[in-house]
Amino acid sequence: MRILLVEPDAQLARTYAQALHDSGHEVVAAKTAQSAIHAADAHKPHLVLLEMQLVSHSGIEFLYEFRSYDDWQNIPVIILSVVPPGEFAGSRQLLEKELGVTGYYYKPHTSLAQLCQLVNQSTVDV
Amino acid sequence: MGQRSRKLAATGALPAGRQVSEQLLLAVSEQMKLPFLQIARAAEYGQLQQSTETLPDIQTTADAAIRLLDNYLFGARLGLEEQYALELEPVSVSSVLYDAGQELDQLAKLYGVELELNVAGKFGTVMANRQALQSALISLGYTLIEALPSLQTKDHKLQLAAHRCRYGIVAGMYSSVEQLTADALRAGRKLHGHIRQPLATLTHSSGAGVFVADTILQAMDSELTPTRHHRLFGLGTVLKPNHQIQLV
Amino acid sequence: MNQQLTTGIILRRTDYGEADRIISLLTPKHGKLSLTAKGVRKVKSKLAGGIELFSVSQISFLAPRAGSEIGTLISARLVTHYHHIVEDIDRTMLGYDLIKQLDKATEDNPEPEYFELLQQAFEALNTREVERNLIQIWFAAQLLRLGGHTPNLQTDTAGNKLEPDKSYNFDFDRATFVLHPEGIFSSDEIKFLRLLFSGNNPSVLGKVINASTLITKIAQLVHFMRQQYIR
Repeated sequence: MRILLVEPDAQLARTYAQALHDSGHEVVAAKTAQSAIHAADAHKPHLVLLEMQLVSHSGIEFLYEFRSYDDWQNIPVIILSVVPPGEFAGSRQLLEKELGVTGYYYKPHTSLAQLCQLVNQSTVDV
Repeated sequence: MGQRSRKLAATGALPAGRQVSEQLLLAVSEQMKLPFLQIARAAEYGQLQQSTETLPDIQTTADAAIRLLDNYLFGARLGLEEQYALELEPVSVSSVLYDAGQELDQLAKLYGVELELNVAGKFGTVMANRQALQSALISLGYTLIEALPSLQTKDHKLQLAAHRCRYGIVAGMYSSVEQLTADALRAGRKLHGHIRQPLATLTHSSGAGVFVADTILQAMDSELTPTRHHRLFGLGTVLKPNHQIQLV
Repeated sequence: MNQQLTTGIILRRTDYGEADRIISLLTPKHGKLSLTAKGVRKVKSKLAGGIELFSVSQISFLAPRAGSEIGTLISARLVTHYHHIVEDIDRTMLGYDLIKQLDKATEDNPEPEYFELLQQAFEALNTREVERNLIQIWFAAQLLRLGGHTPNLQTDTAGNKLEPDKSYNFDFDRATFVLHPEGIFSSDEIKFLRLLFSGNNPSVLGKVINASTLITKIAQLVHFMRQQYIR
C-alpha cells in the first residue's frame, strides 16, 4: 500500500516511515498541509496518516481541501495526532461523516506495532 | 488554573512572576510530549529491529530535552524570585554563541539542520550574565532546529551570529526564511500556555524554547525580538556593550 | 459582456467536470452565488491564494446564462485572509462549523446581514483572545435573530416585566421566561442575553465581567433554540 504520511516532526516522520516500510508499505512523507496536497496529487496514495497539528495550515484545512476533490473521496484518512481525541469529541461527527476520517489515534498511546496493525487492516478501492 | 492565577494577580494577591511561570509550565509540559514520543518510538523501533542503531538518536533527544527543562527551571526561578538579580559581567558574545552552537550541534545533526557560526568583526564585550545568555540561546535554538525542517525553505541552515545595531550588539539565530513577525511573537507571548500552538507559523509544537529564552532574557532586562542579519531572518536579543574602562 | 464585481466569502469548493471547480460564495448584494472556476485544477490546489476559505475576496464574474444557476468566475483577488483561524485546529473546526450552519440556515436567498455576520464571525475567530465558546454562542444567537426567532427578553409568560431580583426558568415553546422561585436564570444571565441578541460584536461581549460563567449558564438555552428554530 502507498501511504501518505503527513507528519511535521522530522524525527517522528523518519521512525514512522521506517516502521511502515518494514511492514511492506511504500511511504510518501509530507511535512505541511500544502506539500501533502501536492504529494497526494503526485503519488496517489491508498491511505493517509494525518497529524492535525501542523505549521501554518492545520490538519483540518488539509482534510477539507483533500475531500473537495472527486478522485480523493474514497481514500481513507486515519488521524494520528498529538492532540488528545477527547478534545475533538464535539467534532467527531464532522470528522467521520463529512471528512471521511476512519480512525482517530492518539500518538502517545499508539505504538509502532499498533500503527502497522491498523494500517494493514485498512483497505481501499484503488 | 491559568484563569485563577490571572484573577489572583489582578487582585494583587499573586505576584506576576508566578503567573508567568504557570503559563510557561503549561507550554513546557506540552513541549515535553514531543521528545518523550520521539524516544518511545525510536526505542520501540530499535527493539523491533533488534538493533542499537536508534540509541544515539535517543540519547541526543533525551539530552536536548533535559537541557530545555533545566533552562526552563532556571528561567522560572528567575521569574519567581522577585528580589533575585542576575549578576552582570563583561561577556564575549562570540564565545557564548560558539558554546551555544557546540551544545546544539548534535540536535541539529539529528534534524538535518546545518549550524553556522558567524561572528566576523570585533564586538568587544557586553554586560550580561553568561549562564543566562547561553541558556537563552540554547533554548531558542531548540525550537528553531525543530521548526526549520518543516518550514518552506530550500536550505536547512541556522546561523548563529552577532552584529552591531543602534542600541548595542544583537546576538541571534538566523535562517533564510522569516521565522516570526513582531506581531506573531507578541501574540505568542500572550497565548502560550493557553493554546496548543502559540507560534503556529513557526512550529507545530508549543514552541516552548522561545518562551523559555524570553523569560531568561527578561531577567537581564532584555527580550527576544525579530531581527535581520544581512539577508537572513531571525530572532535575537540586544545586549549593552561593556563601557567599563579596562585597566591594562 | 455582463461582467460584474462583488465582494464575497467562499463557502465551499468542489470539483466540476474534468478541470474545473465550483466555488460557492456568500455575497452582500447577490446572496449566494455558484461560479465555475475554469481550469484551476491544473495545479492541484493552493491552500493560499485568491480562492480560499476564511477570506473575503473581490470577485469578478459573469452572471449565469438563462436556464443556468451557475455563473463563471473571471478573477478573484484576496482582500482579507483571516489566517490566524487556520493556524489553530480548534478555530479551524469552529470556522467550518459556522460556515456549514450558515449555509444550511440560508438555503433560500440570504439578506446582506448574513454576509456581515459571517465576516464578523471570521474577525472574531481570527482574534485569538476572543474565546471560542463565546463566538459559538454569539453566532447561534445572531442566526436566531436574523431568522426572526429572538426570545422574549423583556416580559415573562404572565406579561410582567422581568425583574432584577427575581429568578426564572425558560419556556422553550413560548421562547419566554417564566417566573419561578427556584429558577436557574437571574438578571445577570438575562442582561447578557439581551447584549447577545442585540447584535453586539463578540469581542465586546467578552469584556463583560464574568462572561465565561454567564456563557456556560446560557449556552444550553441558546443552542437548544438554534436546533429548534434554524434548519
